[in-house]
Amino acid sequence: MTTYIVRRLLQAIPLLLVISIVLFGLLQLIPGGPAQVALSPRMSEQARHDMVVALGLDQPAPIQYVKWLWGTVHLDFGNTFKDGRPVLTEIGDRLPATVELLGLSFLVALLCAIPLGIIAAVKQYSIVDYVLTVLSYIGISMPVFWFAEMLILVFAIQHGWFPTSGRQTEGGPSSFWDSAHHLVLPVIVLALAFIASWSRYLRSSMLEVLHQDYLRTARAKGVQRLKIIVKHAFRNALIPLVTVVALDVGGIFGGAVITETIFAWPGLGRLFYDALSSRDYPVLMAMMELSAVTIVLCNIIADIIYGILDPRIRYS
Amino acid sequence: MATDSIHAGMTGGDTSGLGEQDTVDVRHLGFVALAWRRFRKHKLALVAAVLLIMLTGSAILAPWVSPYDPNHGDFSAFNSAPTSAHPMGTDFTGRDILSRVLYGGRISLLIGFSSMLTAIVFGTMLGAVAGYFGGWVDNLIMRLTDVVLSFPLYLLLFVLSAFIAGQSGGKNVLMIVLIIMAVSWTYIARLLRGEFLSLKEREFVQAARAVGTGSAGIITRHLLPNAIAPIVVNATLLVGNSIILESVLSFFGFGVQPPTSSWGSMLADGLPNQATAPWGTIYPGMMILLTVLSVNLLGDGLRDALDPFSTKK
Repeated sequence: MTTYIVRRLLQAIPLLLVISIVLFGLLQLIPGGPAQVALSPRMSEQARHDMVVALGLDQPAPIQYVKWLWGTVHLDFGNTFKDGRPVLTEIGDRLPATVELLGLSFLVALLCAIPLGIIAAVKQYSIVDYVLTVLSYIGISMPVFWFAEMLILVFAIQHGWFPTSGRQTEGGPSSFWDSAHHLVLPVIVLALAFIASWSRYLRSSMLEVLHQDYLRTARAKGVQRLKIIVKHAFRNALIPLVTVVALDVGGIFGGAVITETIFAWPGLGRLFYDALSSRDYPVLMAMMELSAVTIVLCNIIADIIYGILDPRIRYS
Repeated sequence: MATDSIHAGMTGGDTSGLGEQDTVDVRHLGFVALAWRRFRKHKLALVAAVLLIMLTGSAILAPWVSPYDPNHGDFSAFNSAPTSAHPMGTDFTGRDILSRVLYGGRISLLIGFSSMLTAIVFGTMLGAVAGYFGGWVDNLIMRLTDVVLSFPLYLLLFVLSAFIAGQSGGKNVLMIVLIIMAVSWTYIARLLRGEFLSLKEREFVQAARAVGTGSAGIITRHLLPNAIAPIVVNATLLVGNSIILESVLSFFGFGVQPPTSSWGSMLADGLPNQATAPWGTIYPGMMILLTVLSVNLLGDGLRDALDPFSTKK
């Protein structure tokens, strides 16, 4: 197992290198590259030249890349164009807000999706199954940002039950209830799509397991229905779900950008959006490379958990 | 009744549908006819197909059916609530939302369908080559999909489109299509590679090779037709996915640029006035939801209908 993990981690290194080269190249190729962005058109020729040299933008792209890579492996992502703070500090400042929002959303999504998926599978073709199927189709088909808009419209603007944006009330004392109050709508938005797709996955894998012979055997020898569903069926149906959840965790930054921007949540997604608007290249590069690392790591974790849950799988 | 040749799809679970029409000897039916017999049992998918035809039709016929010019503001009615003159209300410059929804659908659906087509063509080609030839070609293509799949796609999508924002008209639409294609071809490529890997070992392929059919002939005449079902199902789902991606991009201002508008950019337009004129965001969003929902339901119906071993009712 250890050998397997080490091998997978070593294999991830060239993959991440290729990704970083492609990302770096893309940012270079795109018109209005870094050199033009950090500069104000009203600067004098000398000031402009000094700035280009200071940012290292006068050097050829491969050298810039190697410098960037050297910094990155030492966890130095450079300084932001905006105010010259280290990118890593900026990311560290925003991380707690994002972890809070995403962690809670994943928890809520799992707590809802698991029972819903099991119920839909156990009561297959019942009215409950039918309603859940239609609802999950709607959940999957709905544009996330539109759902967020509608929630804000109804629950924040029309009824005023929840704040429209932010992480806590401006200027007010920070309290647990105030934070919780601000979390409700963004968490619902982020969790809904996951609930819809995960419960579908769990339903179909439960159905597959429920038709297996060993479950018939368990029933025949008189094991309680609830025990069959939870201990015998669910444990096996969980295996495919784990992969899907791990992959979704890896790709979560995309969803975070959308939700955090709409709810003005001061997290990493918002940081990315702002960096994009102001073309803050060091921030963009760091965020994309970190997301790629997250995705690759989550893939590896998914495979490891898969092996733990399913003893038939042997890693050699 | 020729029960011996009736497919598993008709015997699974629901037998209530076995009316007089089903006494036809299914041995004489072709692939499409058989698929249609299974598809029409899927009521939700049938409804979805009709809905999708209506939505597409209204978008195509927009110049003839929409009551107003979508870009002409009625200065006597800013942010007007839905009335008989403006069934879906007007936006902040008095433009008729119904007309804009119809015209916006043209762009949204155009981008949705073209992104799907380009992604399917590109993904199919790479997947077919990888699966058929194997060896280093396969290795190279699969490593490429690994790289693309490990990209933070949404972030990449945003970055790429942020730089094309500002271009106008057809060029902009083409760029959006290409960007969406670039992030969506991997799934179909992997799928098709898998299909080809197993298909190419079958006897009929060996027979074709034995009589001297070339690689191109085997791929196009023998392998592709047998892999058509997963391609069609994924094509359907890709249309929905592309429409969502386009709407996200346009919503954040990185997609289609004014004066062209799509459902996504209408949502962005309506947002500042949401408190006083919620119809500006409700209707375009409903259109996206309805389109993607019917595309997804259709894909699900097709998945069951095209799979000869489907046991679903």
